[in-house]
Amino acid sequence: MMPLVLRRLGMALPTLLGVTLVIWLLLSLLPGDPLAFLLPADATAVDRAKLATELGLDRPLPVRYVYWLFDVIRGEFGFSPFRHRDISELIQNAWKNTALLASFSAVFGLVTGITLGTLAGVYRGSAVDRFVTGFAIVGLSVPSFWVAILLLIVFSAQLRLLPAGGLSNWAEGPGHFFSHLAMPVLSGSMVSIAITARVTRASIAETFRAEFVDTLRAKGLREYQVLMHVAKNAVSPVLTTAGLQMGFLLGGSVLIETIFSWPGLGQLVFNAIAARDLRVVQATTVLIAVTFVLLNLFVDVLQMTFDPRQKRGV
Amino acid sequence: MAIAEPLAGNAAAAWLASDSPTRPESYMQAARRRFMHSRVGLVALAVLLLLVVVSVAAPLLTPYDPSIGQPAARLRPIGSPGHIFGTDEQGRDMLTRILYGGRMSLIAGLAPVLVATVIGTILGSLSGFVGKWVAMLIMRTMDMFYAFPAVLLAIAISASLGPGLINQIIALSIIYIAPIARVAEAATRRIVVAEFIEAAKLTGAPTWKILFTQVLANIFSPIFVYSSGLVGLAIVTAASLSFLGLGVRPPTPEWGFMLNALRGTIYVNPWVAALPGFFIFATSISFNMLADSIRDSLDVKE
Amino acid sequence: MALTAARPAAETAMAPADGLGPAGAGESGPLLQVRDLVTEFKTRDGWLTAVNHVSYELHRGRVLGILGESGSGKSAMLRTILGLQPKSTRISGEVILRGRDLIAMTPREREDVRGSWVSMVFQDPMTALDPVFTVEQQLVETIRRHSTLSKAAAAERALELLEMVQIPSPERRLKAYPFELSGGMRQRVVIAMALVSNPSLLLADEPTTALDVTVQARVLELFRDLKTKMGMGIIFVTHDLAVAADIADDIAVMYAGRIVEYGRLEDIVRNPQHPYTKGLLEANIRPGQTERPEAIPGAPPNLAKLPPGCAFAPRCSKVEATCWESLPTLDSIGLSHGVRCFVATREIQNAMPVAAKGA
Repeated sequence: MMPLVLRRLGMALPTLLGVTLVIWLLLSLLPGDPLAFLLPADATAVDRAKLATELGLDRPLPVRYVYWLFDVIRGEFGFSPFRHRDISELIQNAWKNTALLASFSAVFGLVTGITLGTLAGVYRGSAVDRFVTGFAIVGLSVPSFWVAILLLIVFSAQLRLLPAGGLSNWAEGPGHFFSHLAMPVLSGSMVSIAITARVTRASIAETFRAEFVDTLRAKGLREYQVLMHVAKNAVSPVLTTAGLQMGFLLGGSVLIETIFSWPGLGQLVFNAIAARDLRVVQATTVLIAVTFVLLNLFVDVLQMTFDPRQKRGV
Repeated sequence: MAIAEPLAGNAAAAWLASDSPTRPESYMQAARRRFMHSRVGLVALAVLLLLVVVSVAAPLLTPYDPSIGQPAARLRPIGSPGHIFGTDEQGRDMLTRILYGGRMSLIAGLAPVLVATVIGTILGSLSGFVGKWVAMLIMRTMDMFYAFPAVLLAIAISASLGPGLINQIIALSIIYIAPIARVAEAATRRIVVAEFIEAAKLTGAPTWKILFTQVLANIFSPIFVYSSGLVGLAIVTAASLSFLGLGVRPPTPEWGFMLNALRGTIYVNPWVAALPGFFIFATSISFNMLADSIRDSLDVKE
Repeated sequence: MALTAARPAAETAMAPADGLGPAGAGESGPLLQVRDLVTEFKTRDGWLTAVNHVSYELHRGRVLGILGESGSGKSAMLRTILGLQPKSTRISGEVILRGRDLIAMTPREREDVRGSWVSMVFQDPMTALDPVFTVEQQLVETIRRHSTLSKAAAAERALELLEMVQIPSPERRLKAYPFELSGGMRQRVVIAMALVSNPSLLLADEPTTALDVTVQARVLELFRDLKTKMGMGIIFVTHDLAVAADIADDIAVMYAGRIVEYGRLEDIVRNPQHPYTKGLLEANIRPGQTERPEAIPGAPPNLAKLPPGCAFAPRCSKVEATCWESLPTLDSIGLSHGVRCFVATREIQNAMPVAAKGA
């Protein structure tokens, strides 16, 4: 199995290179003067040229990319003139907060989605199935930021039960901690729940149609034992979508964090966009994209352990 | 989506060896008949047509201007006389803004899928048909886009291009090209081995001609089904970009941006603030249900 | 045919661990009695009768071959005995195994019976095993389901079972996943799994159809071995008369859910009476051939819309007016031979001496 894992890791390298290249190209080459915000209004051409040399903007493009890439690898993202801080410092704090929210959302989304999907897949055609199927299509269609606002209206504005935003840490007590997490997690994981439920239902239902299920029943296994077999066979597509969902969570974090004033990467991106602080957008986007690639890599490796063929390196 | 399973379990398949009568009906006829029998699909279609009609006919339906409000009439609740949907933070009639906003939201959701379908189909069918290094080049490039969380990529592209409807459409088109190209490539690869394509190749017809006549006709169904399924998602994603200020510029009404602008008023006038979101949701779910019915009607496996 | 088999011991043996062992020596009478079994299931076209008033008995150490085309209801009948029918199914009649009516059992009791009293071997070994568990895991879980053995003891027993079904280097095969085994090997694993609790009744649903001819012969030999060594009753379903002739003691021919002819193997092979049986015989000139010549034109009827008369009438070369109107009964035409056909019964009666006719 190890050689296969290594091969998969090797495949991730060009992907990572591609991802960084796309972001770099997007935010370095597109219209707009990168120096405009950095220079005083009365700057001369000489000032301009000096700053351009300082920032390495006079070098040929491929060289600039390589330099930038090495900076990124070293965690060196430059300085944000708007926030008057090192970008890496801004990102570090934000990353922790996003990781906290995203992991809670991921776990909540997956657990809920898998539970609902399994129920629907086992009781195909029942009322539970119809409910889950209906819920899934609602969850897929509903904008997460609208759910967030609805939750705010109900739980903050009307019932005054939950705080409208902000972050809490564990030291302030679990009640405080979870009351700040509840609405961001719920609204952010809506899509995950829907997709996971849908894929799980389809995979379980499909596996129940496999012929080996007859053999399991013919052996006299209890229904829960049969379900265990079915679940292990059905897990692969669920894992794949779980990896992809991290994309929804990370992408959606921009909206959710903005609405709930959660000081994470998403809010950082939002504020940077508003200020046209493109280097922060660039740095944050790279970080999120790399996280996403690595998470999917992890999912792929995890998946290999469920597939006997891959386990044996076939 | 609801899979009818009168015969739960695999045993049924083994039992059912009875031959069902074959109907003398063409594929498209059968698809149309199935669609006409799908209540969900018809309702969704009706809702969407209604939305299109009222947003296009907005000037005839409402006396108010969508961008100019009356400061004296700010933040009226739902059901106020003269403003059944209330007014926003600038005293503009919400119903008017919802109707006009529908235009932008529909365009911002539909146009990218259309553009991406055209480009993705060309790229995908080309690489599926020609194979070799062409496929290598195209599909590996497409893979690169898969490595991004789609919404994030759209935000990054939009952010670098700057706000505006056209830039928003470009950003969304780019993120949907890759998945459509994959579907097109897979569908093409399935049919290039078919006999009629082989036959066309043997007659010496040029590649582009086979591609445009034979291949495209045969990969239409899976691509159409996939693309129609993207519209609901695109509506929401487009609204997300607008919500972040990356869509049309104010004061032009657009649902996503309206929702953001009204965010601050939820303590004063809560349900008016929720209205634009409801319309995004209603449009998106209608497209999703329509897409599901289309998929079932065309009998395409996911 | 007294119901002497209804021993109270059978009930007490239904303990969770159900270590029932092979059929008790004290049990007399038939092992299995199927009486007036009807299985219908719901389709879009309405209720479909897959098994239509079927009755027969099976004794220990004998093999009943059930012969018929696909869609004749033979697989459905096996599944009904096992209790593996789809949810929307109507079942009536009795299936009495070792004195207990399986149809009347609770679902939980049936789970206990499956794999212990009665086991099944399926048609396609390529799909019958769970692909993501090793052979050992699948055997051990079955053993432990029906016994109180420890994991280690169950693993030992699994090894014994593989040896019993003559799998070469069984230690290595235990650790294998199904995809690492050949088709014949997988079928032996499936058979081993069916033998876990020395069942009194083994159901085999075309277990050799998906195998190569040479492998087929060896698997059939294994079945013959099991019959003599373990003394179990076997119902062996096949569409291939050559296979049935190789293994069966008795034959029942099914058509459209009904038994149309039954008898000892010799009766069926040397003296077939039903036009359908004759057709099947003609279709199987060379034993073991994989593709049958199409001797009987036409297809089996739609089981949801059975004609009022004989279901075979539309394909029958000897069809008469009465065949379309009323259903012939399953008439006894010999000591152990019966046929469901107006024409055949009449011909036999005509051939009999006049004196015997009056009797």
